[in-house]
Amino acid sequence: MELTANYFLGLSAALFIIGLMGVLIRRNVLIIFLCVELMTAAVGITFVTFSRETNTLDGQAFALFSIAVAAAEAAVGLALILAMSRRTRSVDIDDFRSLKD
Amino acid sequence: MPWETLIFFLVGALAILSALGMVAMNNPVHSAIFLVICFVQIAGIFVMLGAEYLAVIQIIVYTGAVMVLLLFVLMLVDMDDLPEFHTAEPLTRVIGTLLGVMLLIEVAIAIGTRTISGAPGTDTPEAVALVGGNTQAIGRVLYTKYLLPFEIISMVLTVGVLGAIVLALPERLGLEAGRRRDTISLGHPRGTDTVLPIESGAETANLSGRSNAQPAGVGRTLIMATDPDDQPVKVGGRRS
Amino acid sequence: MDRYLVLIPLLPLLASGFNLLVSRKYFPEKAHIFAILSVAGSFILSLLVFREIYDNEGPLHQHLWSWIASGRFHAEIGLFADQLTAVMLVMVTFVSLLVHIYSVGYMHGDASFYRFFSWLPLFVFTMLVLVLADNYLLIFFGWEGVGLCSYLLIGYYYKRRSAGNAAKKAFIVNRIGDVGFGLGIMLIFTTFGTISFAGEHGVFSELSHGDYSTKTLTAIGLLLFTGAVGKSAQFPLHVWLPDAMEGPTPVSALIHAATMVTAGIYLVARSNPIYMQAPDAMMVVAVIGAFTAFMGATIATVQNDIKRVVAYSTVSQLGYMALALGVGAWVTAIFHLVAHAFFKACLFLGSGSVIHGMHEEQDIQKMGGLRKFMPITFWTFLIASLANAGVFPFAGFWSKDEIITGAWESSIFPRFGDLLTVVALVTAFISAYYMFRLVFLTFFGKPRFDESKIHPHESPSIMTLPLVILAAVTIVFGAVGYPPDAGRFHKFLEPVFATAQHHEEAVIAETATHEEEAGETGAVAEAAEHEEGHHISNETIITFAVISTILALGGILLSWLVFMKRRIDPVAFAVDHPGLYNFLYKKWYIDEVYNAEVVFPMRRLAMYLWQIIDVKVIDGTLMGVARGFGDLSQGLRTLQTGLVRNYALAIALGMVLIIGIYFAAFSSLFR
Repeated sequence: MELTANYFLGLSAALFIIGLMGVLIRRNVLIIFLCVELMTAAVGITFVTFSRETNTLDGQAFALFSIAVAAAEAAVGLALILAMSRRTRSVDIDDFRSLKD
Repeated sequence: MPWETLIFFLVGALAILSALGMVAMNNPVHSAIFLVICFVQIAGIFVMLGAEYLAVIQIIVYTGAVMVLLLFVLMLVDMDDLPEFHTAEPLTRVIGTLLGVMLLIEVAIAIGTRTISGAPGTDTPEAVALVGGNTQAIGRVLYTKYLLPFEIISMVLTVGVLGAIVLALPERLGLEAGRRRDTISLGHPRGTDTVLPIESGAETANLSGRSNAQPAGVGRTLIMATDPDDQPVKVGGRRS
Repeated sequence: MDRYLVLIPLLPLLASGFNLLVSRKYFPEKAHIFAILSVAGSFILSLLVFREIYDNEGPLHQHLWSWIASGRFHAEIGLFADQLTAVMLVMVTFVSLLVHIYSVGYMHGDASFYRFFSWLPLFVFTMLVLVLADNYLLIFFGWEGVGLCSYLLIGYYYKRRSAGNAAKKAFIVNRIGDVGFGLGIMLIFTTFGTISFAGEHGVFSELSHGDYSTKTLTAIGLLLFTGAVGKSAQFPLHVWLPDAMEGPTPVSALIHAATMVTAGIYLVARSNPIYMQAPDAMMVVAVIGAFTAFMGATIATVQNDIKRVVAYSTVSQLGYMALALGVGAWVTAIFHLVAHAFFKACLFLGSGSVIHGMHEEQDIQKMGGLRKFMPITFWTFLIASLANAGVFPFAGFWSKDEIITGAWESSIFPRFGDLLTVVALVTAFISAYYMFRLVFLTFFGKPRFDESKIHPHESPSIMTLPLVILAAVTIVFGAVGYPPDAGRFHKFLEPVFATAQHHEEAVIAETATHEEEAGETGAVAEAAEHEEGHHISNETIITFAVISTILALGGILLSWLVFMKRRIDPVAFAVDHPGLYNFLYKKWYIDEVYNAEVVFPMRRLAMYLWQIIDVKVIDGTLMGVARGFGDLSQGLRTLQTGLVRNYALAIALGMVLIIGIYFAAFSSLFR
């Protein structure tokens, strides 16, 4: 079989969906964070696939930016998670309920 | 079957399997390891797509830095009592699975029926090779067409650094002695600047240059927020 | 003089405003000075206007400003004075002035002295606007204004519940008539395209130049008359007038004898060109007028409150005026209006004097023999009563007589007029009877009150002076109406009703032709007689003069026999005929009928609307909407669980849905 772009897109979609389901189902906040990272990476694959398919470099540049943003996000997000977990003494996301009406 | 396809299926299967493993593990450290494996596979995918620079960046930054940071945090969050996978409500699991399946179907349809519009670009692999490889090509694009986003990204990173520093500060700068508040401080064992006796030798990072010494015996409560009258807002939590 | 027309209504308005704003605070006891001065000023100006119109034989017109200009509809503030207006002006200002002077004595010591003298000139203002208006809308303004002032003045003793009720009744019943009037104005506009009646483009010129359907004109006439029914207390909207006696007596004298109630008559008289082309409307007017006259007189025969008797007498006399209008005796109606104003005002003021002298006693059964105690009041009252009864040579005789003759000789309804004449004659008899019943019971006989407890005294001269003046005028006023139908009064007012004359002649000619065709000789002879130019033969005049005098004297004689000589005992009569007595005493049960048929259902409707529609439906809906929103927000509140996972689920769900919708609606896949 010819390796067309659709295969890559399908792989990316599968990874994205796995990450999404992880976000929805898991309760450990750190694992949820990991799943978010997975989703970001999967989207990066999509970008690069399209970039290859259209013979441009825009997609690669965008994937690069998304990696950079993910790094920054990781720093700040993890600090927040750490603080919250110290406050509520747990890493169960259901315990982070301050926004409840 | 051509080699490429075979390798693709191999790498892809490994990626998916490790992703599934990551989602399924109870122990977060196991999940992190699996995610690292997945990222490596993704880097391989990038290479197959001709984005070598991106693949390397993925491994260095993502796997090397972000995952390591995450593992450090895992260590800091010293939890004995981790929420188990199976304590999620069945309803949520069902809905989540359902949504996943539906989304899969939709994306499959999208991929199957997609069309490309617009003219193809000019950076064919031959042109890229002509310039000197993927890294040079990306460099060219980054500093000409995507200069503004580049700058903005650098600002984002700076802000991230600042945020991390702020959150890591032991005390807030600029507070006079009389209005000491407890802050979220990652430099202290319990996340608060609780009083430690002087003789234990625990010294804290003291950016303001002022002594951290408190009269012994003064316990303070953690104040997450204050309302406009400067009264602490009681925030709900499971254990306060 | 044109330019000074505006001063006539303006002066009392200024006095009213001044009293209301300034005198109230600084000199409440002196408020009457401004009121009297202003009305006196208006009176003098009215005399000047009268003189000028008399000399020039032409109307005065002053256009003030444009009030409404909306598309095709134009209403101006303009004052128009022709001979009819001039007569009304002089009469209104004259009687107002006397009433003002009288009130100084009558209302002396009253707590809100200034308030009385704020509303009274205000009333004069609105009445003068009504009379001076040059278009129907401005008349309507004055019309409503006098209704308002009537409300304010009837309810002057507002702390009395009955006074408040009477004021409300007056206003509401008036309002019912006003609906008709308003519709009439609208119909006038749609028919003629204008509502002014002066000038070349006025309603009346249009009417004479154009050809308008009789049905429309009849409708207009009837609608305008509806307003007159309300304002001039004709049956069936007369019920407010007797209750209006709750107000102070000078108010009754001015408003309910001389001015406001005559506004309706004035309106119909002013609109005579319309009526002359709508004989059916005129017939309605005449019938209602005759009926009202009869009804008012019968009720007056058994009333015991001195003011009520005079009030019903007013109702009856207004009926006479309406009858005169209805049969086409226009000038006669105005003649009677003016004469009636004088002697009825005199009667009311005299009653006020009696009440004042008897220390607020109003029941004539508790009076008697007062002529010894209050001579001036007695003599003026007697003179006015003679005028009311229509005894020669007082003013009432000439005018009433003319009405009867006019009804008989009416060229509008050659045969129908006979019936009306009979009714008028019978009513004349009854009028004399009840009037002198009042005189005898009040002033003659032995005092039926405890003389040791009540000491009746004559009123102060500030009150008796107007009485004397009015009585004097009553005596001599008849002179301007002599000879009947051809006197100076009639000649003066002829131009106003000139178009009426033309049409009358046209109608006569038509009738003559029809009668000839039908071949009836009697009618032809009558028509031939009329062709000489609407001058009634002297024989007819003298015949009716004699008949009415006999009837009047007969009525006086009957009441003398009953109440003075006790030949027929009135009390025994009442006991023997309780049905008849109660029927008359209870005012023909009209109030009861209205109560049952109108008031009670309205109140039930109001209760229903209130309790069901307002509280349950409207409030319920509003509160329901509010509560619904509240419940909605409460329901939506449950979405905010605070759980991050729920939110993430929502986002994912939304994403799936949107992609799905996109595929379904926009993608080429499923089209």
